[in-house]
Amino acid sequence: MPRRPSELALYRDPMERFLPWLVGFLVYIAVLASAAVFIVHGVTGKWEDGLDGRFTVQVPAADGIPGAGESRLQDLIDLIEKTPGVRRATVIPEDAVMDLLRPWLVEGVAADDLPLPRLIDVEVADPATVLPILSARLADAMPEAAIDDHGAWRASVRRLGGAIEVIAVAVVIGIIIVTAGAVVVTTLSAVSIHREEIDILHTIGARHGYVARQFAGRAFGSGLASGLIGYACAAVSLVALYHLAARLPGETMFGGSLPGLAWVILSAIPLTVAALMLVTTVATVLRWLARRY
Amino acid sequence: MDRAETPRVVAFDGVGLGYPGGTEVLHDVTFSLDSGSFHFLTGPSGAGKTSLLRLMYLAVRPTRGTLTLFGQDITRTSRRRLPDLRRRIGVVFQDFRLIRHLSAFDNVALPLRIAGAPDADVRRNVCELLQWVGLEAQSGMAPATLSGGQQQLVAVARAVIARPRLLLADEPTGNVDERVARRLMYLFEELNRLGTTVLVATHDEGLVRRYRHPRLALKDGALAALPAVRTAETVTVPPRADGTPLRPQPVPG
Repeated sequence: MPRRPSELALYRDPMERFLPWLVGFLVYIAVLASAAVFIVHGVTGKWEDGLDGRFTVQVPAADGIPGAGESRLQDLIDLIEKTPGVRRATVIPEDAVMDLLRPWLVEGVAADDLPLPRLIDVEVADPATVLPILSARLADAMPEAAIDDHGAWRASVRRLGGAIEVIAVAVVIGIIIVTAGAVVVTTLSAVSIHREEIDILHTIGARHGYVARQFAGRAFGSGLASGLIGYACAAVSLVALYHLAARLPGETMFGGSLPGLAWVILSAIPLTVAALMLVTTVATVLRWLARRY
Repeated sequence: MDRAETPRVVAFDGVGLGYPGGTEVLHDVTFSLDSGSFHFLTGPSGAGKTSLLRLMYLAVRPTRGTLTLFGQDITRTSRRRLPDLRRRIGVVFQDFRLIRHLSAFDNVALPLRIAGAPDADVRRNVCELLQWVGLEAQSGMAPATLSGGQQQLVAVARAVIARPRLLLADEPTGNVDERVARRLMYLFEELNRLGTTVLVATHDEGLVRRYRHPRLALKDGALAALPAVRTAETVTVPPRADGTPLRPQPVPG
C-alpha cells in the first residue's frame, strides 16, 4: 500500500519554510548562551577553588626602606607557621611582585626604587577558624601587617559570574518566548490556510485531537531537524572558540573545555525546543478548534 | 441504540437558528424523518436549506428548540460525543469539497482512516466503493484532473463509505450534467434501499418531479409544507392541533 499522505498539506505553507530557519538560529543562540553559563560557572568556581583556604599577609616596607626588615619577616613567618591550622607560609619574591606591577610602571623602575610591601602567601586548612586567631596574633606582634583574604576580589568575581549567568538565562528564556510566539503565529496562519480541509475532516467526524496530531507531527519533526542543525553549528562554534582561546597565553575563560555533563545538557536543547514546538502547536490548534467548533 | 429502537433518525421540534450578529435564519422548524425514508428538501435560494442541513450534520447547533439525531438530543449532547454522531452521517456538497492534494482513493478513504480502520479494510472498502460509483480506474487521480461529475461521485463514495445511517446531500446535482445527476440519484436510491435515510436538498423542480419521494419545503426559514409530493404539486398540511411534530406522509394514491 502506498504511503498514507497527510490530509493537510502543511509543507506547502509559506510560514512553514520560514520557521525552521528561525528555530535553527534560536537553538544556535540558546546553545551558546547555555554553554556560556557552564563556562562562566566552571571558571569562576575554579578561581574560587584556587583561592579557597589561602590568603595574603601584607607587610609594609620597614621604615620606608625597600628590602629592610628581613629578620622581621622571618619572625612573622615563624609566628604564622606556628599558628594551629596553618599548613604553609611562603614569602612571595619581590621579583614576582614586580612582575605583577610591571604593566603599570614606567620602564627602568626596579623593585628597590619602590616601597613595595612584602607579601606572604598563607595556606590554611580551615580559614574560618584560623583567620581570627591569626589576625589576633598579628595584631599583637605586628599591628601594621594586614591580612587580605581576597574577599573583595572573590565577591567581584561572583558578581560578574552571576551577572553573566543571569544574562544567559534571560537569553534562553527570551528564546523560549520568541520560539513559542513564532510557533503560535505560524500555527494560526496554517489553520487559517487549511480551514477548508479542517472543515471537511470535522464534518466527516474527525476529533480535535486527530486534526491537532497532523500539526503536531509536522511541528515536532521540523523543530527537531532545525534544532539539530542549530545545535551542530553551535557545537562547531564552541570547539572553534576553544581552540582559538587555547592559543592565548595564560588562563582564559575557555581555559577548560566543557564537561561531558554540559554537552549532554546542551544536546537536550534541540529536543526540548522540538517538544516546546509540539506542545505550543497542539495547544494553539486545540484552542482554535474549540473556538470554531 | 439500534434502528429498531429509534425509528426516527431525525426530529426537529420548534428549532430556531440564528447566527451571531444576524437575524434568525430558521424559525420554529418541526418535523421528523423515519429511518429508511427518502425526502427532498426544497425551497428558493435563501430559504434556509443549507442551514437546515448544517444543523443536521452538526456544523451548528440550534439556538432554540430541540434537535434529536439517532435518539440523542443534540442540544444537550457534549461536544466530545459529536464526532461519533458525525461519523453516522454522510454529507455530499454541491461543490464536492474534496481535499485537493489527495487522490480519489485517499479522499474516499478519509472517513475510515479518521475512524481508525486498519489499512487492509480501508483498501478493500475504498476499492469496492470506487467500483460502485464507476471510478476504479481514476483511483489514483487528483480531484483537479477529474470532471465535475467524477468529483461528485468521489464525494458520494466518501460520504457513504462508513455506511452512514443518514445521508444528506446539498444540491448534489447542481454542478453536474444530466447523465451524472441521474447516476447520483440512482446511487442515493440504492443506498436508501439498503436502509440509509436520505435527504436531498435541491431547487431543481424537475428532479423532484422525476422521483417519487416526499418533499420538505422551506420558505423564509420556516417549513412551508410537510407532506410528500409524487408530482410537482406540494400538498400543504396544517400543523396538528395537539402540537405534536408533523411527519411527512406518502401522498395517497
